[in-house]
Amino acid sequence: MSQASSSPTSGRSSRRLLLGAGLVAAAGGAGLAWWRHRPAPPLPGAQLDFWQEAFETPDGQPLRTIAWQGKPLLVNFWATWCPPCVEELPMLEAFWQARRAQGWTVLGLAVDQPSSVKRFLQTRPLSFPIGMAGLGGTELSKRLGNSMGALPFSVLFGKDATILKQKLGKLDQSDLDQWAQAAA
Amino acid sequence: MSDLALDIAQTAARLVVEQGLNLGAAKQRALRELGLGSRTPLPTNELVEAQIHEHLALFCADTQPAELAALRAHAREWMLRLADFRPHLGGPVWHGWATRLSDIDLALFCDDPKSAEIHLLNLGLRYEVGTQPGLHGHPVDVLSLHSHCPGLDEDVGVHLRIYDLRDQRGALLPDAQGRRPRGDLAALDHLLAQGG
Repeated sequence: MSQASSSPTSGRSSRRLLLGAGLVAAAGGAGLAWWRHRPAPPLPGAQLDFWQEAFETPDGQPLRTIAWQGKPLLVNFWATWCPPCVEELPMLEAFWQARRAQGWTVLGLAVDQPSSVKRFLQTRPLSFPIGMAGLGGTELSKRLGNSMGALPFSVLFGKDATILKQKLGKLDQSDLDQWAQAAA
Repeated sequence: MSDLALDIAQTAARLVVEQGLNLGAAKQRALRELGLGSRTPLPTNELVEAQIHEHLALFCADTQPAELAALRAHAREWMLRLADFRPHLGGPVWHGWATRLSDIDLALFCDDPKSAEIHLLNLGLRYEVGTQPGLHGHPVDVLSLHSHCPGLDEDVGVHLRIYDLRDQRGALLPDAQGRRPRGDLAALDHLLAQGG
């Protein structure tokens, strides 16, 4: 039989070997870190098209982006299997709680299987709207400037319905502080 | 087939199922367990796999099919996520003798060998880099990561073998038993549609 059947972690239980993965991993990608690109400008028409988008919530309710046009909207592309995405969700939750009274919305678009998202939200509930973007969400995020199809990816729409800010990779609090001012 | 080869194969099969060892490691361990010298001729992978199927049917018939289905569903998710890199599923999850201890083994055929690694970085995924004997007798880089398998509700290993686009030639040639050694998303869907 071909080599394909032998596990790459030869000689030991693979599960045990992988326990060390976190330590080695940093070295794994270190030489490639410069590859993390800056966001690109959105494709022509992508900002207008965004307001035609419709998604379903995890409960199957319809979500239409048009409902938030004219107000500050932070769109966050995430997935349950993307560690930095999961790490930044509590910060986004706090941001939304602090600003919803001023008309802000945070929209989490899950580039993921609906079943995985539902299971995730059972243990780590979020109160801002979540839309099931599926794997097609990657295409949408690319049109909005995520040329590499990276996760997480966040976009801030201002009151004029155009993109004010984009961030490839994990947001930090200083990003959110700046974004809050930019769309105030 | 000699009785000795069958003994080794049976012991190796048990080690694969109970401890999640790969075939090569299980054969070596079986020699030690049976008190045989390290130069004893080893049974073929085909023989060990046949014994694995027998062991599963005898001892794991109530659990293994569901575990295999969970791993195949999870492999499918990864194949969708990595669709740009022509993912092909191989190993026990493809061949059908995987249990919850098995890892998911994917071969990627990339235009640019660094592109898959860059993609993982862009998704914030942490992985380990290793090298294994690969197709056509050449060593191949393997990116290994943990992934939560929803159907098993535990982490499994996912191994991505990073091949060049031209390595795809011959990658689907049948093995000695006439089986395809790996399959793409369409082939996996075909398998799942048949109840696999």
